[in-house]
Amino acid sequence: MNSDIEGLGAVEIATAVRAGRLSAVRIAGAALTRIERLNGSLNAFRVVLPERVLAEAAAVDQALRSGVDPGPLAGVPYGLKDLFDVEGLPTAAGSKIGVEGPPATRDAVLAARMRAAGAVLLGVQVMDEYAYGFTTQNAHFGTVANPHDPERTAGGSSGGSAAAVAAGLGALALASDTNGSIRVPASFCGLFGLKPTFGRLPRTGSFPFVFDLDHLGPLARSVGDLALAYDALQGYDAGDPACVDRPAEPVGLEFASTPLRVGVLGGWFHDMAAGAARDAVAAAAEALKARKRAELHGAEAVRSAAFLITAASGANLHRRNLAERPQDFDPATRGRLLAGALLPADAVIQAQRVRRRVYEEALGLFGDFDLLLAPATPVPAPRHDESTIELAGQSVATRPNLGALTQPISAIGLPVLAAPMQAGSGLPIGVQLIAPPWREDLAFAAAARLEAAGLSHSKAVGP
Amino acid sequence: MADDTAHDLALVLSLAEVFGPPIQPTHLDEVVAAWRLMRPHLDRVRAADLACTEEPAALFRP
Repeated sequence: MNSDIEGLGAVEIATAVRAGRLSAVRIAGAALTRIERLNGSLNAFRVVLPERVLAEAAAVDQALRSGVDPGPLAGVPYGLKDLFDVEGLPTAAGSKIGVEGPPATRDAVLAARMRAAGAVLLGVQVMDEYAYGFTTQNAHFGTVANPHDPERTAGGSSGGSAAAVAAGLGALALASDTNGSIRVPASFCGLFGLKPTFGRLPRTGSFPFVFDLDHLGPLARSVGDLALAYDALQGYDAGDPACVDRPAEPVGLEFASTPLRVGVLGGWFHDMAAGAARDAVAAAAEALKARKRAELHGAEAVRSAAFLITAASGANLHRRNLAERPQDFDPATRGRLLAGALLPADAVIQAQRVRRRVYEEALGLFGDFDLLLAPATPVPAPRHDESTIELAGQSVATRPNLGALTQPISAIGLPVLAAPMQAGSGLPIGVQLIAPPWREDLAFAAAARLEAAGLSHSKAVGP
Repeated sequence: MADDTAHDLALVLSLAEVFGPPIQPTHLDEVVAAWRLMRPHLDRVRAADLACTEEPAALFRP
């Protein structure tokens, strides 16, 4: 009955709803039906909000009947990672402690902007506890399955959000990325994901992880859908001290076709990538006419800096609960937070110094290149029980290394768009399109070229 | 290897005693494992060839 509309993207839905060809209520009903059918096996949503869904969709249809433009995301169903405030719900952030807390009194700023743009909120999505993980295996709320292969991880920490969009349980999701939590699940689930420049999108009303590294951004199945969401989200908000007061710079849906000087990141980004990841980068490089290699010599050091800052900041954030109710933490999170509390201040200050140095090194690369290209993950999605992976001829632990290629980029705040490619195995794997600060438009332009070439594509999977 | 583990366990306990929060005996293995994972990153950052007069990135944003 709904098969004609279940896989539609955000641009298609908004265009059809605004033109009166589809009602937002019908789109919303189809999304709820699909969630009812698939969420049991995927575990993507922790909470679904059918009453709110239908009320928001009805408001969109009513606006249209009244001659009011409901906005660029009219009737587009989407989900929120479980760390955005949603009025009336406790903000769990994947934790038992959070779910026992008081309900939020208002929506997060980005959720409010989505609503103002006409989008319809489906519910909140499963994540690693406190966003500290890359596999979304949550002791309290279960493991998220990858829609491409349920025996494999969807990635993390935004695993529920990525699995939902990949399976067509909504056209979009909003998520967070501190060390790679948008880009890793985008890579494993075959999606486009954007981690904007640090300070671009306000985090007001979202549960923090690492104040100095937290970014918010969208996940989508096409470049156009990602751009539509990103443009609706932009704008300053004084509630986030890190948000930079600069005007919105919409990327639109017509992307620049001027030549791009693209450098392929070598060194760490080559050595820590297995064959499928290297093949994906080579295919993207060919399409983008990227012939030159670029070296970010500080990549490994700044990844280590991110590792320490994350552990120390996370420990500081949760210190009281770690002391008073440690038994209520996910064991996968607790040990790392407690260990983070033991780090000397000297090391954390030095880690911040490393960030500054490597940021300056990266800015130097943009004198020669408009964009940098790198794998998003070392491998395609591992199986849930795959405890080691082969990298650089060595067997290394899976979980700590899934973010090895994303951490160096978020640590220095550069905008990066993860674009899905195909691995030889048939599983998706992502590449990172890394731009200079505030030049998200360049990453969109490159992603659009990969998509137009048929290399980078995504569609809703599942029955 | 067993000596390393014993050393790390002793180190973690002594650090926790000073800096806390306290570690429950049932959680010790997790913390030692996390510490061992973190240690190479700590060593790498400390070994970075940077002058202490270089400005770090900072949280404060005026």
